[in-house]
Amino acid sequence: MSRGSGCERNGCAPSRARFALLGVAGVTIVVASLARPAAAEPVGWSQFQGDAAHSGVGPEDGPLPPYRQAWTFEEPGSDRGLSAAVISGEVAIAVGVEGVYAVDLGSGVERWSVPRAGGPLASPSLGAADGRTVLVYTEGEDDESSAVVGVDVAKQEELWRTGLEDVSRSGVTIDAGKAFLGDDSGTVYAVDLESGTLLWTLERQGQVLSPPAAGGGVVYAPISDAQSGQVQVTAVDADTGPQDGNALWTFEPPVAGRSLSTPTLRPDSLVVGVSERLLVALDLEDGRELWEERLNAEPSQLSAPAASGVVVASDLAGGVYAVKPGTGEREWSYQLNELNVRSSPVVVAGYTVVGLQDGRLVAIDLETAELVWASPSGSGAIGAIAVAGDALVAARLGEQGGLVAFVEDPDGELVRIASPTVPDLPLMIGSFAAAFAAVSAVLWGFGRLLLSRFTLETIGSADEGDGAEEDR
Amino acid sequence: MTKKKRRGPPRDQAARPAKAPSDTKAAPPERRGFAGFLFRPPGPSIFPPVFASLGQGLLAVATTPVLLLAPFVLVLIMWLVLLAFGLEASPGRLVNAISLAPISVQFDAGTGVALHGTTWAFLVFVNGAMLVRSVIVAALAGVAVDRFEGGTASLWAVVRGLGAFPTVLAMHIASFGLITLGNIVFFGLLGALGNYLAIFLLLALIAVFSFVPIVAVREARSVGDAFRRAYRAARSPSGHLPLVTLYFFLLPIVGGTFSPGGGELTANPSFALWAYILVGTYLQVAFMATFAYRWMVAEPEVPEVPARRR
Repeated sequence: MSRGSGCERNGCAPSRARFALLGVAGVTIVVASLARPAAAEPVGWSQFQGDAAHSGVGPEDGPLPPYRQAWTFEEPGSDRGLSAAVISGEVAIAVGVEGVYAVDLGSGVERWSVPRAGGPLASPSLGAADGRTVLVYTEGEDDESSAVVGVDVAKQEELWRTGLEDVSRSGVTIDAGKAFLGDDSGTVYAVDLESGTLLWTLERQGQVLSPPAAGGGVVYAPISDAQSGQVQVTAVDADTGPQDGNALWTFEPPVAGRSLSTPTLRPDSLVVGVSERLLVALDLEDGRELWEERLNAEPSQLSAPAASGVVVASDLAGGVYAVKPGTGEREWSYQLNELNVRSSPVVVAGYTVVGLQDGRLVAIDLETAELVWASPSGSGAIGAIAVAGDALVAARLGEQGGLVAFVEDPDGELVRIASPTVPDLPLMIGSFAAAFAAVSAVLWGFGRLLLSRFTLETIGSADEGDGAEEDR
Repeated sequence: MTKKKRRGPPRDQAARPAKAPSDTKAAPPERRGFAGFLFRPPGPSIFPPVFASLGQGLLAVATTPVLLLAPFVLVLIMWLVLLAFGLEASPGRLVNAISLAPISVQFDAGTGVALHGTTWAFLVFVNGAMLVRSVIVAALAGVAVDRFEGGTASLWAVVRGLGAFPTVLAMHIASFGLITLGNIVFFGLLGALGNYLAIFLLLALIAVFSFVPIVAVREARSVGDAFRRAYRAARSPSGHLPLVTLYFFLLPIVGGTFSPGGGELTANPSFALWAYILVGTYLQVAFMATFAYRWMVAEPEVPEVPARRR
């Protein structure tokens, strides 16, 4: 049975006005298609933690836990896994050792790939330039082959390629038509997204290990010098770059740290983790510290706080923290007691989702601070998470690494598990009482046994003279 | 330990003045320079053998209900108070909650940093913790001394121990000051070499401070005198280092590292973890009693005046 057309259902009565509208629309489409070389792909989660600010906030309507694993994708012939994914239309794009792969979000099947010349698995980034969706990524194992590359997503053609002074492992951030990244020599680069032209560089001592945050015409780059233990966040005007080598401001934590987390830009502050177990917020104008909150362990340099109504941060030991963005006051913490080296918390519809080194993905309710869902542990650490409509696409490291997608599971069940750091007095006192009774009894018996074979020597008081001992 | 002959008579009849082991002489030991006590002694020890001492310590605590059970309850109370302060930490660290100085002060400082970072609140916390700790250590020292004197570890022993509070507090303050200074000098200026020197400092401080509360309880001397007596005992030809080293590696190092559940952060230790903590606490108190016994045996041999320099 054929479906009836609009004319059949409603009675076809085309008016002149309708024809006129159709004509105008047609002309507009033709003109637009002529003016733009190719239609830009709709861009979703365009870069590390979603945007240039690294907000890490997904859509309000989900996907909601519980989840189930929908598909996995592995890079052919590689045992290192893939970088953080970015989302363009119906594909997730991630960087592998030998190539950059676009994977169908519905099926996990490879749609296309472009070759890559090795190098660290750093997060790529998507931006719009000249009507195109441009994918920007870095490649190269050494300073001679290191480069930042721009690719037209629609045609999978290389648009430009710009050489770098050293290997880059920071990942790329795109904001306002410019791509920002850093390298292992402490140089921060600004590259024109359309042409790949190098706009400016900022040179500092150390390494840029994570992608800069950008917004409001300013780039905020985290720079770590492992040798001296000095770390800094440097703010640079995105348009002009450093003036006479000088940044707008530089923040150095009062206690020397070994590394910094990836910074997250909020409307009123920049939030960054310092390896001395601190989460700090910096004033955007001058970089002074607005507040700091102590964490139980140091944050990972590969992780960024998520910034929604609360700031959600994680640490290397599996701690997840929600703090008030204005004051840094801790609202709650959840201790997962599993390493988290590569994953950043992502906020999705009232939950924060984070990956762990044992391969688990877990969801915590932001309201109640309870764990509501956890995937089974798997082979390979879960890295950065991208939110793509109705799926979460996570990077997985290791031999069977790649991308793994989770979607809502209507048959799954939520749990409610409080953090182990929340005191459960009946449980705690009960365990103590049992141990107290058992250990006391054993030691008392041990003492009696010893006393049946040996004696406790008795020694006179200091006032009684200077000699003698007595066996009991 | 010696073979038991019979159940002991009441304290006043059984207790006799302390006498040094027969192979020791009353002649004052020679000085061997700063920290000479950390190395092999040139002469016979004024202290009883290490394992005999340890056996006495283990036996004294296991057969004295106050020494055995009170520290267990104190550890639980400490944990509840720290949780009330907002601490999120691995309970395995409680193995060192009741310990010899300066390990105990390291515990307080680590807890203070976890709670407050290096702020003024940290200093307030550490000072408060040292006050409370001094009361506990003084009381335990009083009971341990009383036990070896043949007493019944009564309330009187606790009160007698509390008389040593000023000296014990001074010991904890000195521990904190020296550890802080050591951290600045060793880690700040010397880099990797500082790690070894920091361990050396800890061993030296344990060697001296293990006697201080006992001297204060036994001899009721001034703070300065108690420190000097403990220092002279520690640097006498003693063979003191093996016991100090055994303590250091058995409890602060191994005990603090291999707890059930590893370093998991939880407010609710399991039965196994509590049992581990309580056994560790027993060993801590047993070491305190061991040093009390050693001091009491060697007490007459510890010179009143500084030994002549060789």
